[in-house]
Amino acid sequence: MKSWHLPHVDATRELGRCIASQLRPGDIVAIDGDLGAGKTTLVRALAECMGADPKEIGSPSFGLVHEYALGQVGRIIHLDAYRLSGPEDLLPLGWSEWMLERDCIVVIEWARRVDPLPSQLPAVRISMWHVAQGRDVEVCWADDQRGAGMPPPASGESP
Amino acid sequence: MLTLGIESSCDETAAAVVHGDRDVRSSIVATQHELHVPYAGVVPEIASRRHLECITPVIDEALRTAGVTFDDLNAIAVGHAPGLIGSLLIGVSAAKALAWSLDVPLMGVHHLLAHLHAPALDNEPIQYPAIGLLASGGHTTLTLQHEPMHATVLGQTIDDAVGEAFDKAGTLLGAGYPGGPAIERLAQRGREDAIRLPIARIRGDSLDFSFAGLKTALLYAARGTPVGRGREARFPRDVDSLSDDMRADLAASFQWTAVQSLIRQVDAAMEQHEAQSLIGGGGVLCNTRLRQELEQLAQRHQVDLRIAAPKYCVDNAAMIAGLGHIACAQGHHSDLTLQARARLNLDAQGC
Repeated sequence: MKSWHLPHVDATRELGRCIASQLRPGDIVAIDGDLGAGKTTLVRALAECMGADPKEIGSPSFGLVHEYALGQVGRIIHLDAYRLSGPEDLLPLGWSEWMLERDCIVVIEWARRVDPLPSQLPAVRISMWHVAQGRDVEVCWADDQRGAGMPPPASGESP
Repeated sequence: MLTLGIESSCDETAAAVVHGDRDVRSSIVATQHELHVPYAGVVPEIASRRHLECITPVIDEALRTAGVTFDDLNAIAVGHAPGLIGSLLIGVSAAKALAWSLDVPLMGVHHLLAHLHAPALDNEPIQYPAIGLLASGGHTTLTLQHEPMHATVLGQTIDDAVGEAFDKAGTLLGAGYPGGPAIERLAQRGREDAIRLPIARIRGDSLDFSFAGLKTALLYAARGTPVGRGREARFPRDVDSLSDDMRADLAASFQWTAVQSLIRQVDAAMEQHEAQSLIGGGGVLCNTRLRQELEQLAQRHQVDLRIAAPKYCVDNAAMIAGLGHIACAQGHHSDLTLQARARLNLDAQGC
């Protein structure tokens, strides 16, 4: 697990791009943090970096699930679990299809609302907290190698 | 010409009978708000099950209120995009079945374009070109229209929709859900200039909107600057500890800032484009403060202000039927392969 202090919103965006560099199809990204902690900002940077159309990316709080095509192959499923009451609520949204097709990266905001996930562990868990002057963040990769391979966000500071 | 409109894109099951494009003979809306209150938002699976239960009685009620039967209908129009896919499917399937069995034209209508037609219902035709502000729980979009069937998007939110910001502010201040009416009620007792909150500045001359920063600023204003680091970080106070006056001031200041964020971009759009009308649609246009500010803006630019009546601001099927009629009259119609679509760009196609 690695921790950083993100002093401003650009640092949150940098972290999104750093995480994107280690992702591959089939991965699940689990993000937690209070309202306004920077979850959607992080996902926006991550998705843009992977080739999603910036105009398509937005908060899924209302529609629950957004889907962004990534260039020629693959897609990002961007999910807001705030209003879901448990992992079983993921099934009617298309969970099995996302898991079977293996071309998706599923990114879940408010992931603790749907913990434990029905069929697969997240490749990376990200926790964000409001602190004075910015945010603190913890990033925990299931695979140590990918954790070690992830570049640190340039403006991230040691906690 | 009587058109039956069907709308099921989110949490309202609605059906309406409209004569021509503006003369509403009936408009029935079965709302699910109470079902979704515990979740502070719409839960798709609950919504689509409820649509399935409501759709047939709601259509029957629309016909009965209009004093017509299925045989009197000349066309079926349905909101087919955008929205929650499971919800849209119920309306689209019902519309297809009816169009097929009655052997009348079927028309798929873009939900957002229909909101921009709503001000014409039970009223005079809209004069074009028009600048449109569409503001709701799922959308915040600024448009330019030369006719009802096509809209060019001038700007839209880059993060949260304004209605979503109201909902989150409602939750944050413990005012309740839906946040729009709850914040407006609370704001009546508060001072708009009590707390200074940021109006997002978008780079360059963009007409886009942003509401994520406002939401976060409200959070800090309400709960203070966090103390501690990482996992241990905490806000120094809960919203419960705030006085009623403080909560009212926060609500009023939030509402003022959200409204000014909208007005600033509408004003810029009117500077950039010639228009005869300013159109307002979507649930957030029920907000009294926003309506007042739009009135002033329209006066200053000397354009006709056309805000939908409150009952046509929220999701309804009369706007679907009215716009569906215009589409049919222009010779467009859909066939039985019409698909429900969760997302569909307003620019991409007329209806």
